[in-house]
Amino acid sequence: MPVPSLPGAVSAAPRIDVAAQLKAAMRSHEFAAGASAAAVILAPPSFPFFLRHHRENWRVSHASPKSTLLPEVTMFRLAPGANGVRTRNKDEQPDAGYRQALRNEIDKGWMFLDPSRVIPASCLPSGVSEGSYIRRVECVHPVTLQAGELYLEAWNVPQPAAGSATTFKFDRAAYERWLLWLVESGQIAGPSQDNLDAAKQRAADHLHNRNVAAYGNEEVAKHLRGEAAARLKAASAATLPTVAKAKGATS
Amino acid sequence: MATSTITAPFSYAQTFGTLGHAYLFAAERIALRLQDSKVLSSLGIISLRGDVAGLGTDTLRVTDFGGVGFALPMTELASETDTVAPSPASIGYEEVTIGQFGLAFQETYKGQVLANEQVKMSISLDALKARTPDSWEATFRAKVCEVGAAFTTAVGAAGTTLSVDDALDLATAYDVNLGNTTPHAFVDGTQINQLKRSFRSEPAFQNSAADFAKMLGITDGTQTYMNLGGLGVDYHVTNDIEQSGGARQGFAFPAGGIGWAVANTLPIRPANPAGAIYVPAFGLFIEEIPTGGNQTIRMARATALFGVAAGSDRVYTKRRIISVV
Repeated sequence: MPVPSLPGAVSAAPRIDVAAQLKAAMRSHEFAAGASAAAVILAPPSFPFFLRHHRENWRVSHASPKSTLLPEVTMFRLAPGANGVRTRNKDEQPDAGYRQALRNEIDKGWMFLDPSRVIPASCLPSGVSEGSYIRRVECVHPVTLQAGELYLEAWNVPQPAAGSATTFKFDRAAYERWLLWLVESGQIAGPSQDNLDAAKQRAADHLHNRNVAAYGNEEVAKHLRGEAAARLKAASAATLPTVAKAKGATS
Repeated sequence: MATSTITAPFSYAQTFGTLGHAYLFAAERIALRLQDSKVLSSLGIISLRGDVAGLGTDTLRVTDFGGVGFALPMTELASETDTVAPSPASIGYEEVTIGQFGLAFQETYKGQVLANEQVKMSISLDALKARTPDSWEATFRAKVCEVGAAFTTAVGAAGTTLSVDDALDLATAYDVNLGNTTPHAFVDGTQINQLKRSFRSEPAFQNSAADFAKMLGITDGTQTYMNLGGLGVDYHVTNDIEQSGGARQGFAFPAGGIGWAVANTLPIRPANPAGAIYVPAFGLFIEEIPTGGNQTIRMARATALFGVAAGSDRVYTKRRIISVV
């Protein structure tokens, strides 16, 4: 199974060269809201990452118009000192620090998403251009004021705000469109009925918890039970995504 | 030299410019800003797997075995002449790989000469060196949170706030997977607040003011809630909790479910042994480095060598605790 690598990696640190478009998009986002041209992202620097999916992890959509079972996708940071990622030895290739760690994770059932794959504009927040799921922006640490690089998921958009640190807004609707696209385009193998049944069972268990709780106030009880019932309704209505034949998955 | 005439009546306004002070520093100790000061190394639940110094590698393998003892009941024999088939056993391993970390400070000689007590106590090179262990703790904590965020299975949901239901799901994971020690959960400040708000309406807390107060109170600085909600899970709070996919990635594990490896720094032979401080147990080494040329600058640099990794799923039950950002 091939281990993914970051495109455009350079020797100093593992990084991805997709910054230009993103930077333009994010800066324009700030301009649109009236921030100054000199606006900087005040956030601690971070290491790049891969996004990945484990075949057991599925969830019901929250922000999609139609209730669907979507893959859960999480971040695997390439920072040395955790999860098997090590500090590269002198003269080693840029991916040498994390290659073995990725192999170990793949053996445990994780599949890593290819960062070089271009995400359609329809699956991205408004104003963020087509590109990878990983976006690099320049940042300034809010405390030390040291310049660095911040690696973000494409849906985590910096917000213009007057404050001591930049805030970010995660576009859930666009993100869930992307999750669906991952399955429909065959990059992630589709879920099974068992996955959907497990999601429904969990929602049913939560409603049961609330139905058997002797709440002291009827209004509170009504609210809490209604909340759980709505989640069960969404889970019950959820369908499996239409799956294309798997292709291009890096696992 | 500037002179000025003070006219009667002598007022503060007239004397301020020449004789007064715009401000004085308060005599009390200079105050440290608020910071997430959760210390994980002393909790006793993140086990030290070993020391890689002198082993020729930066990776330590931690083996596990199973299919024996309590996991292997004896076979019933239907006949006294039946043969007993030899049983297999299962072995496996996880790896801990160390990373290298650094921190450096500089101070000029002039700065040292002119520094007042406030500076000496707070941001002089010596004061900063004394705080290096705190920086080590912060780094260690961040690494533990990176490891926790990579656990496979999760309770909670990316689109909703954390609730009693999720706390129950977490407890259930340890109810049904026997053999674990008491689990410890790590969540961020928002997640613990979401949980508290959810627990407010729990029937069990409507009858006990003491339990309710313990549940909803603010911690005294330890950033730990013991046995939150009576579910048998200790919740530790740190804002180093990772976020991805629009979700906060808290996590839980029993003692030993996350481990770390260190590289004892004692073999380091620095250029300036007189200014060296070894903290081998933490893989930490602090040294004084002469700056180049004729610069009258003093520099201190800390190097740490350690790594954190999850223990095997075959040995420990681990869960992510996710909730909406």
